[in-house]
Amino acid sequence: MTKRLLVWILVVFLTVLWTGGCGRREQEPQAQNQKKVAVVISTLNNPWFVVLKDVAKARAEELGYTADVFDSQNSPATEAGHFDTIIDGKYGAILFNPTDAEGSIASVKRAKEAGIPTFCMDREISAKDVAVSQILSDNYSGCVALGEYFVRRLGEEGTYVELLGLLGDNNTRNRSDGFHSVVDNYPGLKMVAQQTADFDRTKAMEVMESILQAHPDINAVFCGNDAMAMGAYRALVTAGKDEQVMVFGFDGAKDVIDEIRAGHIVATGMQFPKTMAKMAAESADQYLQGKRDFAQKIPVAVELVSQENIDKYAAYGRDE
Amino acid sequence: MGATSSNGSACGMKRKVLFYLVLFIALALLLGSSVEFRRLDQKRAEDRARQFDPADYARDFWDNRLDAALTRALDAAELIHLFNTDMNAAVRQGETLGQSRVHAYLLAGEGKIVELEKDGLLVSVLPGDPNPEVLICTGSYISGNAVRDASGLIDVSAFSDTMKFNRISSEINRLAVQEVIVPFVAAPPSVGATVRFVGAAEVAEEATTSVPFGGRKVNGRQKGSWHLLRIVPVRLELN
Repeated sequence: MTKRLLVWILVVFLTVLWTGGCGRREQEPQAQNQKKVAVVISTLNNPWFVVLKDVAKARAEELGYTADVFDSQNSPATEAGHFDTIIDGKYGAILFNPTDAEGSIASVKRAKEAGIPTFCMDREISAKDVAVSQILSDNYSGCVALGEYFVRRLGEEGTYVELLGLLGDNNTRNRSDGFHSVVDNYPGLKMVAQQTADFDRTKAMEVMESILQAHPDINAVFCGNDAMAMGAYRALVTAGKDEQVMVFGFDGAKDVIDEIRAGHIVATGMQFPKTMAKMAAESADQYLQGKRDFAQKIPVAVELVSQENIDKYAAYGRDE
Repeated sequence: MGATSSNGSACGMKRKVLFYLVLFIALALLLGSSVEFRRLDQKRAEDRARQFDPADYARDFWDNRLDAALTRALDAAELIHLFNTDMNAAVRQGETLGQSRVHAYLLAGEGKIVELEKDGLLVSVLPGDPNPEVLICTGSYISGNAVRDASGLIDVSAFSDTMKFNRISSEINRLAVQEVIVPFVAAPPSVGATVRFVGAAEVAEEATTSVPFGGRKVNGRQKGSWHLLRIVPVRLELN
């Protein structure tokens, strides 16, 4: 009797497990509002991302959609909350600039399960089967070119500092890897400090001020984005070392383009936020029209902008 | 009484067998839907992909896959001539990664060494031109993605993150140095010698709009720098 009872308990337990498993399966797509698109941006505290947002929204509206903007304030938790709102609101598609390569995957997965397609812009999620497509800056190649120029400008000798962006963002690592794939081959170039400033201008200024206390005689600073380059440059101006230290940025933001033109900042890597935002909005439109064949990752080239070719460039793109 | 008892026990036995049979079928159905059978080599390949090692990947690419791509290498002299005369036609012959104005080419050819530099050999490949049009990299390191992208064999979408894709490039470049450049420079070549090469180059769309490959830059100086097609060698030998 006891044996039979045990067997029945086992059967009930396994059945519960099985049905529980079924419950986690991907849901059928909800009835979406095909004409409503969400634009989710990692932070609007940086002008570069404001351009990304503005162009994505404008292009979506040109294509006949209403576009609502969500600012994640660099917080994966805030971002996850936005995805809840978007799923509940039955949006047709998401144009997405993630806060974290790993941490943002779960949100995109939830959107997918709810039948909402996601198109990543500029920043990557470390997955290849969750977003419909990811349109990304080719940060690595851009920083190879920047590294080669850095070596040439420093004459293969000197000491330098590197300011890194957000450590959870793959862009941070790709930029640093590309730069070091060149610069580390020159024994005369010595990195005396490498610190994160989270892609933030104010934080970069503080970090740079602190580094200058310990290393007052550096020759250059390589920054993982232009906001940090501007922060570092301000710290150098305050310390009276802006003539002595060469500043290199990455983005192609307006203030850095202006400073390159004025001869204060040496170079940056021009990303094309307008191109990426337009491509993402157009891909979402094509998806909603029925297209399903998208490349998972589409790198967009980054171009070196220096005092030598600044005339060909404007803020956030080419001078066209 | 004994017969009844025997019948009853046989009947109980049958019920028991039937019960366990039903239980077995239920379990089999349950497990059948949650267990997947796959080939062992496929499972191992997936495990390898999860524990991604860019050095292993690059080694497999170099040893087993690159040769097939090299059979469609373009003639270096023809590509240089095309770039110098019809840039758009030259651009169409290249491999392009995503949205880019930089294109990658697999090239083969031979030419005369005109000059030896720290980072490479200056080589003239165009017939009748004494000037070099090509820099064959023979320095201590290689940067960029020329071999990876020119091969057309490695798809960025196949990787969960672009860091893996980029680290493959570093490893391929390391192999080019170890396997091609180091043995070649062990017996230093001399100016005037003929060199045969197969390699890869990255060229920006506007590379030749102001100065052709092999031309001198005119910027107020009497002796400007050569405008050169930079080739990463994957095969390199003296004739």
